[in-house]
Amino acid sequence: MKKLRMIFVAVFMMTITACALDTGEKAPDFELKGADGKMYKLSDFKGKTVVLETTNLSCPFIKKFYNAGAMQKYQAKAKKDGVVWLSICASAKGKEGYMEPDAINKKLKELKAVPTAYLIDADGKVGKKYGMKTTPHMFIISDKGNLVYQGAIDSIKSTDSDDIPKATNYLQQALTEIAAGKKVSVPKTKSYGCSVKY
Amino acid sequence: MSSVFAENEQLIKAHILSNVTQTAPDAEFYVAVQFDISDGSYTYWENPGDAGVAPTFSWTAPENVVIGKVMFPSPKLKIEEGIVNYVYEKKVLFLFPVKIAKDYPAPELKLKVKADWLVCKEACIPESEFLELVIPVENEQKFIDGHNVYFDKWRKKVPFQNDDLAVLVQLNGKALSITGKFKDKVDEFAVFPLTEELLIDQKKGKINDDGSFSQNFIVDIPVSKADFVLHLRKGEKHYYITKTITVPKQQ
Repeated sequence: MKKLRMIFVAVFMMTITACALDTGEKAPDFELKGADGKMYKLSDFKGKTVVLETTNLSCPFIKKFYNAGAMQKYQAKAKKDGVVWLSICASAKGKEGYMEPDAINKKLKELKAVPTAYLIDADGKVGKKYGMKTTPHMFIISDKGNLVYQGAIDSIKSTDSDDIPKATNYLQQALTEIAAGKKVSVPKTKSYGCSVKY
Repeated sequence: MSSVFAENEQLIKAHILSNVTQTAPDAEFYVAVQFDISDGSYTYWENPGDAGVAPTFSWTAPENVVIGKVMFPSPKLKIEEGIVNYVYEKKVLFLFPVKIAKDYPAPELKLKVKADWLVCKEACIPESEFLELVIPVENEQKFIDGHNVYFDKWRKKVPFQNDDLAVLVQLNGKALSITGKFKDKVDEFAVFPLTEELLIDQKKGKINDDGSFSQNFIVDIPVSKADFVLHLRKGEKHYYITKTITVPKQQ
């Protein structure tokens, strides 16, 4: 039994690192249920720039951005610019961040969050496919379906909201470059946050 | 960034201590912040790994006193669901070297520090503590015997340069292999990257037949140089070593 468990753990561990995507690669399609009860596929948004926000509304690094109104600002700007914003929670049932749809919708309303959709990835399949390691961990998919950015929102690794205006915002920088038809100058950074609670 | 819990409910209890009962102008000693970490909880090393953040210490000290950089002891590797972290559990002492100027004018020295850290159990919580220590300044410095031994135990876990270690580096695509040769054949080893752009290959490293040891890393984001901390054990002797390597250019 012990030997089997060890092999299983090893396979699990390999899955997250082996499948991490290279920037420039085609973003794998996925289908997840939203907190609103609807099914969402990445391919539904072909022709649009898509932002994936790996989220966990209880994580202090996520709270850093929501408490300051920053994440909501990014979401609203995305909406205005025709960019799709998908918040994806890969927390397993029973672990930090996992919530039932009613609780999610209540929390999103309370936070005044405006993602296009909040998707529930409780079995972590999408998280592991993308190599989501932290909350937050951001991914930008171009309108042609390629991964053009992955990593941190910004350059200062902390849980302190006061650091947000002091940091280089990689997410906004990339979105601005994409909107201007330019190549993303910083296509990958090391993400920071709480570990994803698979 | 205040803690949600009352002070005595924090997962880490922080204390400030020194290895002297009194100091003197022109003297040097250590001050330390000790973390007593609740069972089942952990906090992070200088490079936290895939997630988390290192503890930070913000000192207030009088003029004529210089408090050096925090000395991080060598950490432990923790892998959960494929997420790698470098952590401390149970107890850790962070040492800071202190230097008093020749012309220090006052009869005492008040040191204040704000310690901030992230402590994790199933979830991670930011916690904070304000700590203060007053040390008399006299004609001569006096060490606290017991503390001196205790500080020394922890100072030995702080890695430093060691010329008895040679390292060979090879890059194959994104796979970086580090092979170390020490003066003695080691019984056990661990290699921790300080450079955050490097990820440890989760396949365990190995001790080779010729006595060298190897550990692989993934160059997640290209870097030209990388710093490592190595913990080697030969019998009962432990060595904690820092090493900087040049990363070959990716082909």
